[in-house]
Parts: sequence; structure tokens; C-alpha cells
Amino acid sequence: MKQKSIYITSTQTFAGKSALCTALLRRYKAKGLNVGYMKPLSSTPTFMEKQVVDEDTLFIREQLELPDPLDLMAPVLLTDQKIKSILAGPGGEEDATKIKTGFEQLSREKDLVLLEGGGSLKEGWLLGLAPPQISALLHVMELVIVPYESDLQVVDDTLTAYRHLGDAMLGTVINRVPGHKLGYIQELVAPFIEKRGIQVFAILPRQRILYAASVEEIQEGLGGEVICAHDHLNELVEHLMVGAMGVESALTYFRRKANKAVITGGDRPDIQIAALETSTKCLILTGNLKPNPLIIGKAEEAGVPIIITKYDTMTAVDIIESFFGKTRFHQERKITQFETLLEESMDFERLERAISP
Amino acid sequence: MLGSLFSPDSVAVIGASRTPGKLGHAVLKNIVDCGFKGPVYPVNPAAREILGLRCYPDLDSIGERIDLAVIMIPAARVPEAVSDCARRGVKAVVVISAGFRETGHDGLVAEKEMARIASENNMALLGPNCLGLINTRTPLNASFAGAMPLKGNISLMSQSGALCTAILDMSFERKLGFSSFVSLGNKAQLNEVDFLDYWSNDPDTKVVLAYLEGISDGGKFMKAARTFTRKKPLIAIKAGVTNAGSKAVSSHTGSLAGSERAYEAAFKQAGVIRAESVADLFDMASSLVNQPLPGNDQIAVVTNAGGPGIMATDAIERAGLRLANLSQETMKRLAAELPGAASVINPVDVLGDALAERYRLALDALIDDRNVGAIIVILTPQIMTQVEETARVVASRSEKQAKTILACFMGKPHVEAGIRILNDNRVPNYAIPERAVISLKAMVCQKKRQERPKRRITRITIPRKPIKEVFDGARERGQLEIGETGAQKVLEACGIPTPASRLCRTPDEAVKFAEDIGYPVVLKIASPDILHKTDIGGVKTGVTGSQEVRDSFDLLVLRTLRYMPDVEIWGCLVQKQVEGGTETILGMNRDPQFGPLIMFGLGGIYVEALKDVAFRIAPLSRRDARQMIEEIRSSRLLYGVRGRPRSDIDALEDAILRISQLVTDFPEIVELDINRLVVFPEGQGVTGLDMRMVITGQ
Repeated sequence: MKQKSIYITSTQTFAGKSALCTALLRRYKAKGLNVGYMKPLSSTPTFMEKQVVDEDTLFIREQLELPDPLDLMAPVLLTDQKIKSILAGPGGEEDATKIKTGFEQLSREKDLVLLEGGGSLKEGWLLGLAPPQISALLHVMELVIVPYESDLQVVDDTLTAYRHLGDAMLGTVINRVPGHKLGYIQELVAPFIEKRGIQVFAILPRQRILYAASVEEIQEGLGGEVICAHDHLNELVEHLMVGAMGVESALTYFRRKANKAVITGGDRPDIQIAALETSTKCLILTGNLKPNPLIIGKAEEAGVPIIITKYDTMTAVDIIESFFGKTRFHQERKITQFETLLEESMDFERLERAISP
Repeated sequence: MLGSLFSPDSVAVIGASRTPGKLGHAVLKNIVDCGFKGPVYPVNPAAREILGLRCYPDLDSIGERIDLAVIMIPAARVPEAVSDCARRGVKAVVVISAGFRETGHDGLVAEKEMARIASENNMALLGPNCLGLINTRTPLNASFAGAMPLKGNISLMSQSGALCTAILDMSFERKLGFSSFVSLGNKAQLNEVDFLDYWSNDPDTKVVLAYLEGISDGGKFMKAARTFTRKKPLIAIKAGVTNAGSKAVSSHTGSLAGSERAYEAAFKQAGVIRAESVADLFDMASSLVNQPLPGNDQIAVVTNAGGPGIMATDAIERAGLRLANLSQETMKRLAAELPGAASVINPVDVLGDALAERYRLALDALIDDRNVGAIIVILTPQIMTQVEETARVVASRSEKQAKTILACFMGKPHVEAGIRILNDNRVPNYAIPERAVISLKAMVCQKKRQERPKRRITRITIPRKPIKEVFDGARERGQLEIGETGAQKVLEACGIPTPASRLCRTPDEAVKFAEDIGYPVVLKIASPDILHKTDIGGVKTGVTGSQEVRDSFDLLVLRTLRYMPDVEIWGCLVQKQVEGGTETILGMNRDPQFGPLIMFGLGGIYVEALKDVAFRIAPLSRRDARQMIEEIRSSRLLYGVRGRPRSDIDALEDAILRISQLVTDFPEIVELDINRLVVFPEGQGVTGLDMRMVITGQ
């Protein structure tokens, strides 16, 4: 069987590329296919355990138990050092070779290889490795994820992508469509796009849980200390609420949202307990103040981690909001949820037909 | 179970110490010194003898039956000791040791573990982290309080151990005697409910005093208190009622203090007398334990001082009591026996130069008057005043007669001797008339409480299925707040009428429905994200034609999108416009301690600006519902005033009862608001408008 590849890219960052890659790879692996994954250009590598790696690649490699070496799966890491050396020039041509030979090596013996693009169609031009260039280099078709922001933007972004990619564009997946807009997108927008020769493989509804942040992510973002319920750090937080009122109003306020993180002062035991009485996944205490042991005991009992941060409430809110909804996909609950969504909304047969030679 | 706690046959003291000044020494000494009659077994592997008693290395080496064990070893070893006690068949334990839930999770786990061991072995467990307990009858002083209280008929429980010792110390001056003293500590197993149940049948307890910061189980407490207060008075201080106070309670107990309104309603419904301060507690306790309850709420005042007499009169009226109307016979008798200048009308003024004899004449006349429920005797020390003789007259009348008599001997050094006589003869004395009146008020309330017929909860059957469907639907969408469309379905299922309405997705649908039900109609934006529709201009009233319906529909959608571009819009709710009637508000907020707190009041400015609302804890009786309607200050507007028709009070009462049933049947409803329940004139019912609720995730 000839190996099939898809290059998955998007019109903006945090559009759901890793999610789609993971879910598709899991689906086809379960069907008995020999699958592979590659991120030709990693624009946001991180420093982990004494080496620079691409986090998504690391995650997918472990998730799918892929045998390929990491430096083959993510051959080019765009570190500050690298950007500087390219700007100072000359050089950089070897990266294209690295990707090309890597891809050839990796795709040997594979039935399906998914390649994940950078943050957006705008990325990679510095190295000559932007999505259109990569698809030409590797002769792969591109599936573009367009996340919904407004009726107009969905159409414009899709057409812009088509303009960039031309015939290399396999089609699109429209993601994160609010419930009340689904009908509109299905009945008006999708047919319009199809008429212009772009296949719409899926229209995926927006689901809060997919944009949730884990307690651990919040803690990493804040740089605070977790003082209890350490085994609940993978719980997902969907809302953020600030407790800065009288205790009665706090209870009324906290009852309105489930699966939330509550930020309050370390010196507000009443608010802390009110939060623990309602559906709370995490307590964030500002001002570097440890709470009363009675409350730590209660939180441990309820399985609610308490994070102590040195920031004041306003700063902590700003920090958390800056990454809320832009979090990684690396939680089992999110993956299974996304898989369910895909099974309900994606036309897999059409996708398979589209990549058949 | 509690019998062995208060009156054990034998006591083991685990952690007894030879060293004076140590807790283990102090408690053992208290047990020995109080005159406890049974065997006492100090347990300490390092000692052979303490305070002349043979000391045992462990429980097993005692070899005799042990009723009660008092434990004060380091926290880490306490669970094992409790376990040993259970194995040895000990019937009750008092854990004085601290270091449990107040220290964090490990402590909480240890505390729960020992409560489990105790309960599984049918063993009573008081504490941990408490001062211990005292029973003056047994006698037993298994505490580290500084002294043994006087013998008497008051029982006290306190969530603050330190307050116990302060109250104990203060009680000597007032000559107040106690039956038992309990420091509740962390309430791992035994809590306020267990003690109320026990004291309810304890012949030595006539009055119970309680200092509470939080209640372990509000529902159980109300049930126990209801039964208890039918027989005996329960006076409680609830601390932590202000914002700052509740914060302090949270750090002291690790629980929410509960709302002030919920406590007020719960205490009122359960007949608990509320004291604002320790002074109140003493004032009320001394009259309730020493004097009979007044026959009625009419108070007579005898005084040798005009001013204090008038102050007493004001206080009586302010407290909602009545100044007694003396019978003709009494007034004639007083006129005949007292000097001409004396006032024979209540307050009875025996004049500043009155000797004891004049007090005797007046008192006897008032005691014989059947109109009089209670008497306050006021005395100020003039040069000729016979303080001690007068005190003796009052004491002798109090002793012989069944009428309530409280004294108010005002002053300090010159009345002291008289007060001593009064205290020795069970006549409570108050420094000022106002404080005597506060006590009388408590007594009258208790009297009414004991006479009140047993209440019957009104039960109404509400279908579960349609309501469950609304809740499940919301949860599926990840929502805990239920807006008007859903809430209306719930209200209808529960039998409260709502106007004809339908959720219309398009302007065409809206026009069609409006024409079906007839104009005028109201349009309201329907979105799960918008709860306060009026705040964003999401409501249009008085819509009278098809074009206006179309325009309003578009306008509301536009306004909503401008307010929140991301919002999910279902369409508009088209509703028959309700005209006439009086707007009331009916709501519920689930209190963390007592559960469903129902609120009722007149709508609009009455609730917004005047906070004229009444509260009760559900489930309600028909009488509760009626009292809520009558209790608000603006209730006269409902009963018809100045030509306004009387509203349909029965329908209102019915709606309150239905909501009470709804929130009782569905504990997942944590908040509910019908913020306009329109009540029409008599016979025309009510209609619920503008409602919303909040449910829990499970």
C-alpha cells in the first residue's frame, strides 16, 4: 500500500492542529494502520529535562507509542539561537534537506503520516519553510483548520488559505462553531466554500471543555506552589472566578459556574470555604499567604488543589487569562471528547478518498 | 450512650501526669477533688502512683470495668487509645487532646477515624480539642476548668472551651447553678443535637444555654430544638453574624458561619431564644431557671422611683409586651392602702419614701390580680429606703406565689445587701429595668412556644419528570443557571400559574403566536447566557401589533449581540402581558447550614429599597406561609387598604407552600427567584413572571 500523508495546518495559532493529529492518528492506528507523525518545523520548542524539544511531538510520540526517534519527528527547532544565526546569514539551506530526508526515512513502511504545521500560514517564511513551501518540498496536500470567530472571518480565512496553497489545499475543517451558529455555517457558509472548490470535511461545534486549562497548567503559568491535593492536578478548569466580596454574595456567585478555579486572598477563609462548598477544581490564593490548616484539610478531603502565588489578585487574573483557551491538548479527557466530536461530525470517507492517489 | 458520659461509674484518665501544672495532672485532680464517688484509674506507663491513686501502665492492666475514659495524650497516639477503649468496652470517651482537624488534613483523617471507631462500637465521643465536661450531680469534673460550678439546673454547651471557663467564673457572682457543662470541641462525633436530645429528658436540666459558631447539621438541629423547646427553654448565642465575624468563624471552625437571616428564621421556627451577648445569656437564664413562666404577656411594675418606672414602661412596649391593665378591684385596693400621692395605675409608684411595708401591700395586690402575668419590682436607694427588708418581702412573695417576679434594685453599694438576699432566694435582679424586660420577653416567648399547637408540614405532590428534564437539559449544556424558559416549565409543573408564552425562533413565529394569544404581548430575549434581561434592554413590554412584534424581535437580538457578541441566542420568548395585580417576590437561597431559606416580600421598591421581606426555612407549614405574608411591614397593602381590594392571600399562601415543596423535593436547586409573583384580587389567583434558578452540577 502506498503511504498517504496529510499536512495539517491552520489559519491561526491554537486552532486545534495537535488535537486533530492525535485523534486521526489514534483512529487509524486502532484500525491497524502503521502511522507516523512529524512536525517539520517547530516554532515554539521548550526546554525539558536538559534538552530542547517540541512538546506536541513528545506528547504524540508517547500517546501513540511511536518508535521513531524524536529528532526525526521534529527535525528543525526554531530556537532563539537559530533565528539569530539565520538573520545573520548565510546558511539555513540544510534545514530543508534535513526535513526532506527525515520525512523520507520516517514515512518508509508507514501507511499514514500526519505532518503538523506551525502556528499559522504566516509562519516559516524566514527559513523558506512556510506551509506552501513545505507542501511543495514534500509533495503533500494540506488540510487547513479554520477556527470560527465570526461569520465573515470563517469565509475570508478559508479563501485566504486557498489563495496561498492553491491546489495543494486538500480542504478544510471548520472548528469551534458556537451551537447557535452551527445551522448557519452548515446551511450557508459550507456550501459557499464548497462551490469555490474547497472541500469541507468537518464542522466541529465549540465545546468548553476543550479550551479548559488543567490545574497544573495554571500552576505552571503562575509559578506558584501547590500545597494540597497533588493528585488532582490534571483536573480541568473551565471558568475563572474572583472572590472579593462578602461571604453570602460569594456563595451565590460561585454557585453559578461548575469546574472553576477561584482566585481569592490568602486572608479570606470565608471565601475559601464558600468556594469549596461549590463545584471548584482549584483554589488560587494570592499574596503568598498560606491558608488556615482547617481549610487545607478540607480542600485535601474534597480533592481541590490550593495554589499559593506571590502575585496580587489582579496580576494573577491577568496571567491566567492570557493563557486560558490557549492551552495544550495533552489530557486524556480532552482527547476522548474531541474524538467523539470528530466521529459525529467528520466525513472520514471523503477524507480518505481525497488522499487516495 | 450519654448517660455514661455524664454519670459514669468509673473513670480512666489516659495521660494522667505527676507534674502539677500539666494538663494530665489538672484534669485528674479535678476528678478527684470534685468528689467523684466511683473508682478513678490514672493511666501512665511511667508512674506508679499519682495523687495517691494507683497508676496503670495501660488500659488492659486495669482489669475492672471502665465506663468513661478521659484522653489527653499527644494527638498521634489518640486514635490508638480510642481504639483500645472500644476494645475494652469503655462506654464513653472525652478527648481533650488537640491537634486534629485544626492542624490540616492528617488531623482531619485521624479525627474521622476515631469518630468511626467510636460509632461502630456504640461508644460516645466528646471532642477532640475540648475543655472536657462537668456534671454537678454525679459529681464529675472531667475538665481543666479552674473550678466546679454551683449546683443547679442550667446545662451549658459551648463551641468555645475558653468561653466555658469565663461563664463558669462569672456564674458565681450571679449565684447561678449548673447541672452540666460541656465543651463541644471539634464535634467529631457528638454535637449539639446529641446533647439537646439528652437534656430534653434530663430531670436535672431546666434550661439549656448554648454558644454556637456553626451547626453540624441544620436540619437535625431544628428538629431536635423543636422538640426540646416544647418542654424547656433553649437560649443560644450565635456568633459570627457580621461579615467580619463570619470570617473569624471560618478560621476558627473551618466552616461557613451561615447567614444571619437563616439563623434568625431557624431559631424563630424552632423556638430557640436568641441571646446577643453573654450578659443576655445570664439575664435570661437566671429568670428562666429561677422563676415560673408568666401567665400572660401583661407586665406590672412596682417602683419607688418615677423615672425608672417610665423607662420600664417604654421597654415593655418596645419589646412587644403589654403594660398590664390592672383590674378595678386592684386599683381600689391600692388606693385604699397606699398614700394619696401614690400612683395606683400601672406602673404602680409607691413613692420615694416607701418602706418595705408599702412594697408588700402593692405586691400582694398585684399578685392577686389575674390580669397581671409578671411583676417587675424596682427599687432605688433613698435615705429611708429599707433595702434588705424590701428584698425579704420580695423574696417571700416569690417563694410562696406562682407569679413571675423579677427585681430591679438599682445602684451599687447601697443595694448590694438586698441583691444578695434576692439572689439567695431565687429572685433574679437586674441592674436596669430594660434588662429585666429582655428576660421577661424571653419568658413570654417560651410560654407561647410551649402552648403553641404542634405544627404540621403541608405536603403537596409535585411531578418529578418534567422538572428533572429541565435540569438535565441545562447540565448537558454545561449550565447551572436556568433562565426564564426553563424556570417557567418548572413553575408550571409545580402548579404555579404563568402567563401563556412560547419560545419563538423567528420573527414570523413570534407574530403567529402573538396573534394566537392576543395583544398586548411582551417579548423577552431568550438566551442561556443572559439572565438579567432587563439590564441589557432585552425586554419589550406592551407590544400591540404584528409590525411591532417584528421590530421588537430584531431590536432585542441586536441589543443582546451588542452587549455580548459571543452570546448564544435561542430567539425571543413571547408572553401574554399581565396587567393589574400587586407585585410580590418569592425566592429561595440554600443556606450552607440550614438548607432552603424561603424569602417573601412585596416586589419592586419594597424589596429593593426597604428590604421588607420575611424568611423561613423550608419545609413550611401552612401557618408558616401565612405568617410570612403577615410579617412583612407592607402586608396591609395585600390585605386591602384605602380602597385597594384585598389580594388573593390564599393563592399567595399556596404558591409559597408549593415553592417550599419544590425546593424540599429537589435539593439540587440552590437558588430560585420569582421576581414578580403577581397577586390578583381575592379569588383571582397569582401569576409567576421573571423567574430564574441555579442548580448544582450533580
